[in-house]
Amino acid sequence: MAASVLIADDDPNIVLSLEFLMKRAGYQVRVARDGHALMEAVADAVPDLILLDVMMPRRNGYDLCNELRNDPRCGDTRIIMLTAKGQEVERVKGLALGADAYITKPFSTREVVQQVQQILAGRAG
Amino acid sequence: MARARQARSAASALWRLFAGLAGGIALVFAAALTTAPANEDHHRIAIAAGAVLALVAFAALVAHRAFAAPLDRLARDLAMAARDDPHRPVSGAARRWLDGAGRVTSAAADVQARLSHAESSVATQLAAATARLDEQNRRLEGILLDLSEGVVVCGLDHQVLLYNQLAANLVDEPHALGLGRPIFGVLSREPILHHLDRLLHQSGQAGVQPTAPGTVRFICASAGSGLPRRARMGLLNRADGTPSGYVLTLADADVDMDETARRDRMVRTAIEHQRGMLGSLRAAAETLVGAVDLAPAERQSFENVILEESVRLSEQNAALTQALDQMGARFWAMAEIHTGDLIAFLRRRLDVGRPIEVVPAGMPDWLFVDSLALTDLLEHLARALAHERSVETLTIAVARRDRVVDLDLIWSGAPIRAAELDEWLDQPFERSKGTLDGRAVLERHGSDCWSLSGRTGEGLIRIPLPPAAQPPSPDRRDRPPRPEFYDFDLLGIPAPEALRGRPLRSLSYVVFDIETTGLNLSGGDVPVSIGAVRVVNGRVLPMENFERLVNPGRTIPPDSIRFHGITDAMVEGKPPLPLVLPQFERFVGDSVLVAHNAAFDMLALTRGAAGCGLSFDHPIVDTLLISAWLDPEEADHSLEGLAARLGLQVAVRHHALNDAMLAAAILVRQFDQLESRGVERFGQLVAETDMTARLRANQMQF
Repeated sequence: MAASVLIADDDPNIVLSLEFLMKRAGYQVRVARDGHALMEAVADAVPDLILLDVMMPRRNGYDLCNELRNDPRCGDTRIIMLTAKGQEVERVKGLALGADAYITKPFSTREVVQQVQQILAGRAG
Repeated sequence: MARARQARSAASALWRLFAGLAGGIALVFAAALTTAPANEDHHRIAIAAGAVLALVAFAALVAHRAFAAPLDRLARDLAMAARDDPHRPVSGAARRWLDGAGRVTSAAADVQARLSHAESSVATQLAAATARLDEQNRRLEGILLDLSEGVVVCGLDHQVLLYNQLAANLVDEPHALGLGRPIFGVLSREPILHHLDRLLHQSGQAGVQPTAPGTVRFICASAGSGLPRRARMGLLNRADGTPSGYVLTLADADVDMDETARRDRMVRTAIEHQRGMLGSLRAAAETLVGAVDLAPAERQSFENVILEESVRLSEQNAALTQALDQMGARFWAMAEIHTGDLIAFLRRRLDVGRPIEVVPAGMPDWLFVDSLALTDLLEHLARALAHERSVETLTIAVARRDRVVDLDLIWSGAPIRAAELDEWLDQPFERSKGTLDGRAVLERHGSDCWSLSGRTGEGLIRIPLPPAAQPPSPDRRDRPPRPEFYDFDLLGIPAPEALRGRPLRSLSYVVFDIETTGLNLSGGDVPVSIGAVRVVNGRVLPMENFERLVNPGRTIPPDSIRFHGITDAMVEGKPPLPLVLPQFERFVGDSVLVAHNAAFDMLALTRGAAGCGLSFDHPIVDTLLISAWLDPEEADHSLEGLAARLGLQVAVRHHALNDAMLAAAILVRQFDQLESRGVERFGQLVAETDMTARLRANQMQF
C-alpha cells in the first residue's frame, strides 16, 4: 500500500510542484492550506509523513510540530519541516521540537524526494 | 638719585652735623680768643672750648649709638630682607635703645611679616592652581588615550601639541610624530592646509554661515607610504572664540568602515547579481508562456535557462544568508561576559518584587552577547514562568554544544507550548518602554528559543547563544600526566546495598581533586590544596564548591610547584590539614566521592583523615576507570586528553577548582555514554569499573 503524504503549506505555487512530485513518486497525497486544515486532515486519517511549512498563517509550524508530536496517534508519523527560514538555529529548533528532517527553501526537488523516500524507508525498517 | 640718597647713612649725617657744630664752636672760641685781652682769658676760653667740644662730642657719640647706628642697621636689614630673604630677622640691638627706635623696628618687623605672608600665600595659590591644571591635563590625556580614534592636536603653526597612541599607530613613521614637531612630518601637507583654510574662513564668517559644519571630513595621506587615512578636522578655539589650533581625528580608511556600510555594500552587490539572473529567468519564462509555436528543441533550451538561473539564484541566496549570519554577531553592543556574571545580574533583578530563586548549573562559559538585552529577556521569561506557571525556583544550566552555548531555563513542570512562548516573546519589556521585546533580542543574537521536556520530566526553555572567543584559561600548564595508580584496598569496596539499585544520575556526587607536595604519599608528601564541586541530578552545580589551600607544614619542592603552581608563599598562613579535612567532610556529607584516577586522591585523603581521627569511607567513582571502560582502544585517559576529546573547556577563575570542575563535567558526560551502553545503575558501574581497574593494574605490571 502506498504511503500517505500530507503537504501543509499555504503557498499554492510550491504546493503545485510538491503535489506533483509526491504523486509521481508514488505516494498518496493530501494537501492542507493552513494549521486548522492540517489538524482536521490528521484527525481524518493519520498520514505516514507530513511536509510541514513553518511560516503558515495563524499557527506557526513549530507549534504544529509540537502538537503533532504530543499526539499519540502520530507516534509513527514522520515530519519534514520545509521552510524559508535558513538560519542554523532554526534548524536546530525544528529538530529539537520533533521534526525528523528540516529542509530550507529553495530546495532541490530531487533531494526532497530522496529525503522523503529515505525517511519513509527508515520507518518501515 | 634716590639710590645715592639712601647710601648716605644716618651715622654719616650725624657726623656731618657734629663736624659742623664742632667747626662752629671752634670759630666762636677762636673769635673769642682773638678778641680776649689777657692770656689768662685765653686759657679759660681754651678750656671752655675744649669742654664744650667734649660735651658736643659726647652728645654726638650718644646720639650715634642710640639713633644713627640702629637706624643704619635697621635700614640695612630691611634692605637685605627686601632683596634676599623676607624672613631674615631685624637685629635686636636696635631695640635696646630708645623707645622710638623700638617702635620703628617692631613696625619694620610687621611689614616684614606681612611681606613674607603675602609671598607664601601667593606661592600656595600658585601651587594649587598648577595642581588643578595638572589634574585637568591628566584627565584630558586619559580621555585622549582612551579614544577609539587617533587624535592629534596642532597649533596654528602646525606644531603638534597633543596626540594619542592610536594616532601614532596610524602613521607610517611614529617616531616623526612628537610634541613640538610639525604635523607635516607624518601627514601630507596639501589636504591639511586646504581644509584648515576652509575652516578658518568659515569661522571668520560665523555670522554669515551659521549652518556650516564645525568639522570637515577628508582623506589625507600618511607622509611616508602615501596610504590614505580618513581624517576629520575641527578648530580649537580660545575662550574669546578666536582659533588657536586644530584637532585632527584619524581613522584607517579600510577598517573603519561601519558594519552597516559594509552590509549595505554587500546587499547592493547581491541585488545587482540577482538582477542579472532574474532577467534571464523572466525572459525565458515569458517566452515560454507567450510563444505557443516553439519547436521542442527551442522549448527545451528556454526550459534549461529557467532551470539554470533558478539554481544560480538559490546558490546566491544561500551565500548571502551565510555572509549575513557571520556579520550578525558583531553589533556594537555585544561584549564578552561570563555566564556567572550574567546569572548574578539576573539574580539581582529577580530578587525584587516576587522573588524567584535562581540556581546556576552546568559548566560556566563565556558568551559574546548584549548582556543588558539578554538579562532583560531572561528576566522577562523568568517572570512569565513565575506568573503563568507559579515557578518559584529556576535552574539556569549552561552547556557548550558545538559552536554555541546553550542557556537552559529549567523548572519543575510541563514545557511551554510554542504558541504561548511566542506570545511571551512578542511582549515588549517593561524596562525598554515598549521598544524592545524578546523576539528582537533573539534576532539580534542570531538566536531563537524553544521549550521542551528535560531528561527527568522537568520543563525547560533552551536559548542557544554565541560563545566568546575563548579567553586563555588560567594557568593551564602543560603538565606531565600523573602516573596511574591503583590501590585495591580502597577501590575494591563493593557498592553499599542502599546505592546499588539507584540510577546513576539520581545520586549526589562530590567531585574533588587534591594537589600535594609530591607523589610519594607514604614517604611524607602531603596535600597543599583541595578543590571540590557538587554534582546533583546529573548536573554540575558550580556554586556549590569547596576550595581550600592547605599549609603542608613543609616546603613545597620546585618540581611540585611546576606541576600545580602552588608556592610556599601561597600556603603561608593557610590552615593545616587537620583543620581543613573536617570542613571537607561536612561539605561531602554522604555524597559519592568522585575523582580522576581516584586512588591517588583517596589515598591522600585517607592518610590525612587518619591523622585527625576522621574516616572517609564513602563510595568512590573514578572517571578515569569509566573512560577506560568506555573506550578501551584509546591510549590517553588523562584529564586533559579526555577533556579535549569531549570538547570541554574550563572557564573557572580559580585554578584550585579547575581539575575538579573538569572531572565533574566529564562525569556528567559519562552518564550519557554509560546509559547508552546499558550501565544505568550504580551497582553496575562499580562492578564494571572494578574489573577495569584490575585489568589495568595487571597491565601496568608488564
